[in-house]
Amino acid sequence: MSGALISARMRAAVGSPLASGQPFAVEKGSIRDLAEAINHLHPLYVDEAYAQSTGHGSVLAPPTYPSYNLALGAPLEALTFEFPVGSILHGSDDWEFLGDIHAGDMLTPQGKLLDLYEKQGKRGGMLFIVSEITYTNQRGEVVAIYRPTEVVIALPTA
Amino acid sequence: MKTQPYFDDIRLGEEIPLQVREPLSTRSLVKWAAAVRDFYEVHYDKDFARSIGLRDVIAHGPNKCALLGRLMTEWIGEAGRLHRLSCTHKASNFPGETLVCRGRVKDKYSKDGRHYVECEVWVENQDGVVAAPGAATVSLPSRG
Repeated sequence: MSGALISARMRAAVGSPLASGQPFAVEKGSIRDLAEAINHLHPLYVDEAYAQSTGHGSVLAPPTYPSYNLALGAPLEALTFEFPVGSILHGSDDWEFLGDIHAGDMLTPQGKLLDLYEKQGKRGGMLFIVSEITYTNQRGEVVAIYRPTEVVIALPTA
Repeated sequence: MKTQPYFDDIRLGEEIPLQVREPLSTRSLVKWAAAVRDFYEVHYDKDFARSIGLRDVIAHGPNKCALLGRLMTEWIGEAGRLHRLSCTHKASNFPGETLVCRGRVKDKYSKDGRHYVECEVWVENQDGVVAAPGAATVSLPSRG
């Protein structure tokens, strides 16, 4: 179903893959940077000996670590808007955590355009773009699925 | 060390006995930007933020979500697991504000040998204005 903001061409793009970046190595330094950014220097995240003593092969990454490589712009670049764009907001985050992520892992992100819907807001039409990024490790295990929503506010047309 | 919570002791409707409180500053925003490599100017360049109608730079939405993740992982301890976490960004937060992450138990059930607890979670500011309501699913060890 198309609406005022969603053209048939945009609708047809739902389900298609999105540029989601190259495979990336999980590094101790970037785990520590994230742990510091949320002020949570848990020994599992920053102390290799502690992590190993509790059955982890290496330090553990905090749950939302894959956002280290997030490509929030990808769905915006993949769509051609046929209305004047006012502003773009990050609308929501939705994570499924399916497996541990450790330093030394290699994660491959795979994105797709999951859904499009629109609402009429106080400031005009709002287009909601839901994407899905699946993170798979070097053993082929899906360790996290991230579904962010970006909101595109349309400028009122005269 | 904090006490490990057990599934058996969780009561419906109870507030999670832990809050995460993080003061926001331009420095804390830049630390997040660098950690996740999100260099959108609205998070550290006040002139840019003002040019799009904001009074100051704003905190990253995923930063608030990650702080909710910290709330849940701190609460459930090393024997618990965080399975799902979501939040919707309803309001901007600026340097000078304090983010307060809280949660409340909505449901508990056992399935396939795991003991799940569903929580309502949210980020509010120091005045109680809710910026990011959401939900989290965790599992906890059982004494049974």
